Amino acid sequence: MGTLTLKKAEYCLWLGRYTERVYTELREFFAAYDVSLDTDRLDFARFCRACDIEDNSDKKLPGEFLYDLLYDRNSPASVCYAAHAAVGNVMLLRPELSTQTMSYVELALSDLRKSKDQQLRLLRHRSVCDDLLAFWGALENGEASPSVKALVFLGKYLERVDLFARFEKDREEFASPLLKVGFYLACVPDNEHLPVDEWISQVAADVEQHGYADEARCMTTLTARVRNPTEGVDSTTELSLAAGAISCVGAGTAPITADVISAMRVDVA
Amino acid sequence: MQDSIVTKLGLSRLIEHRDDINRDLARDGVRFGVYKGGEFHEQIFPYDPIPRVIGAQEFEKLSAGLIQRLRALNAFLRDIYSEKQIIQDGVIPEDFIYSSAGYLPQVNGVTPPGGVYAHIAGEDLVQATDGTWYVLEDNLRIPSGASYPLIVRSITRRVAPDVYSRNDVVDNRDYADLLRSTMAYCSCLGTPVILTPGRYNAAFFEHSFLAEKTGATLAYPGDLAVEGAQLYFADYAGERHKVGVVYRRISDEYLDPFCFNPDSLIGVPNLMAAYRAGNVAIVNAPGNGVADDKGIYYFVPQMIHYYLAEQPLLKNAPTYLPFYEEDRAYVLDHLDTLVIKDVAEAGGYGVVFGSSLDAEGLAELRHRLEIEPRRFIAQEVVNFRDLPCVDAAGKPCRRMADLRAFVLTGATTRVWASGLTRFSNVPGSMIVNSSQGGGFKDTWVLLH
Repeated sequence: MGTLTLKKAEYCLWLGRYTERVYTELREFFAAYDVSLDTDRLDFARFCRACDIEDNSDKKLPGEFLYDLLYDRNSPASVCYAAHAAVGNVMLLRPELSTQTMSYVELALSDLRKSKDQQLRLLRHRSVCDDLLAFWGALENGEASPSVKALVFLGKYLERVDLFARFEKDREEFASPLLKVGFYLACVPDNEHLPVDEWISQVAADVEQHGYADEARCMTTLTARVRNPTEGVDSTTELSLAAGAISCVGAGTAPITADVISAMRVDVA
Repeated sequence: MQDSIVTKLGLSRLIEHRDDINRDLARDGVRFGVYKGGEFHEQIFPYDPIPRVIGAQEFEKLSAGLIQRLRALNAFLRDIYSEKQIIQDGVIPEDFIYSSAGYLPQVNGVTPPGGVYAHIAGEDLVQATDGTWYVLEDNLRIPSGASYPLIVRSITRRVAPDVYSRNDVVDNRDYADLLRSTMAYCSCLGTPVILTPGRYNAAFFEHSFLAEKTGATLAYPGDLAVEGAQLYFADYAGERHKVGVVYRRISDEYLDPFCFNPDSLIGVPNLMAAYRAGNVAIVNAPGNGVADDKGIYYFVPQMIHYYLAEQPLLKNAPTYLPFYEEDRAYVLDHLDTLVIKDVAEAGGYGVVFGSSLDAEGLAELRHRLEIEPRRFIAQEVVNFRDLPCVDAAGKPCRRMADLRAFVLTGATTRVWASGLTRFSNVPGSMIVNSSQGGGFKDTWVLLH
């Protein structure tokens, strides 16, 4: 892991989490907004449940509520807060990531700031998502160490699982991010020295609290299997086992095959 | 005149795309922090597209003067932390050494690895209207600013690719190599580290950028530990990596709570023990503050005579020490035409132009000079050259500007063929510090 300290490992994890939070929240916002164009109703309550915020939509104009959700710098539930937190983490990792790679996160925050104009908002939000996709692509494509890459993506998919639970996604949508959590965890060298149990259990508790007990259990089982592989069993096999575990979650989920796993493998070396 | 410079150098594309360049700088996270009212704010350091241009011959002369100055300053530091011959020979009064906040008795008798004290010097210069260069300050502790012209050049080369070869501009992107070799020269075998106090330091961008460019590990408080008089960096698996050299971006007083300020939370306990044992190099050496004290600045030309037996190639700004009775009398008589500097301040703070004070202000300053003469220096106001700039509205203007030249000492002493040109954003103002709202320019050194 080169000279990556525990503190930097945590910056990586939280960078992954916050970038994913911006991305998924914006996508959820757009999806809900898109529905509202036809129904003339935006499901504020769902956002409040997802973000653990008080539903005071009846006390605010819809525009104000949305503005706060997107741009209130002081609210930990806002997209803007997550974007600032992502920048706060990425700037600490410049030498590990490179200026070029980190610049996409700075760009995402800059584009988010420019998106306050109501007429251009949805278009600009797309730029923010593009910036984050570029960041993840640049990270994967760049020369960051395998540990850094794996930790950022571990955080990203942990956050995705968490947000999927918060946004009440269908159960089958969890399979892919859960598998990626396992995959990227397996890619973190010497991960037994990291507080992985703490990271995972926090998210698992959150996921369970939002009504996804099976997915929470699957996440902890998968983590345990990746971290404590049976002797002589390589991580690919472990991932197959994990995939099997995931495929058992929820009726109607298509089994995840070794081909799927193989297709999902990302070269982090 | 500005039009002719723009045309001659072919700068129109840089001017036209100034806002794009500033946006790219923001995207790359180029900023600096300032504390206002006890709160931390991050600001963009505005870039001006018209560079300062230094011809090859002029740079050669300037380099010779700066190298000479650094040779003398390094000799002074070596002497002052060993024999103190310069005091015994009456060249510098001992009051100026022992009352300097930068003098650290804790490093008496310690010879740094490689024998170099001032590895990276930031020399602040201004050019008078007659073309004469004056040194205003020697910054030998943790001078910052090299990263700004370094990163902007990588951006502007995309905006105006042909302008550098057409004008025969020396490529300044070797700064990381210079820094790396400077650190390697004094390294005590081990990994190189840049030690930062963290993201709320004004120059954090620079710390992280230089770590990226040199390949050194960026270490935060708590990442380093001393064991058995060796400095180590521990990764998350608990593996220890021996550190050979620390380019510290933390002030002396906070470096080691067991040696200096016991309240420091950002230092490395026992770092000085490892340093004294010769097991790790610290860049720049602790204790250098005694040589960049504004009071000691007065004596640098004498140091050049004393240690090198040479005539100074570069001038100091005409300076008076109120500590000396004769100088004090002159200063008190000419207070309204001089600039007074508090030796304990930096960053443009504690600088008072006598001409800006009313009778009451002058009387108050006079009183302070009389009761604390060692605390101040007085300088003649150098009418330095203003440089062509582009104002916020895109209109041509002229602004006062200085130059911070970077002098790096390892196996040899070299002046980086570039530098940070800072300009004031207030017409006519001579305060160019970034913390006071100024901007920066690239500094071009020409090949011919």
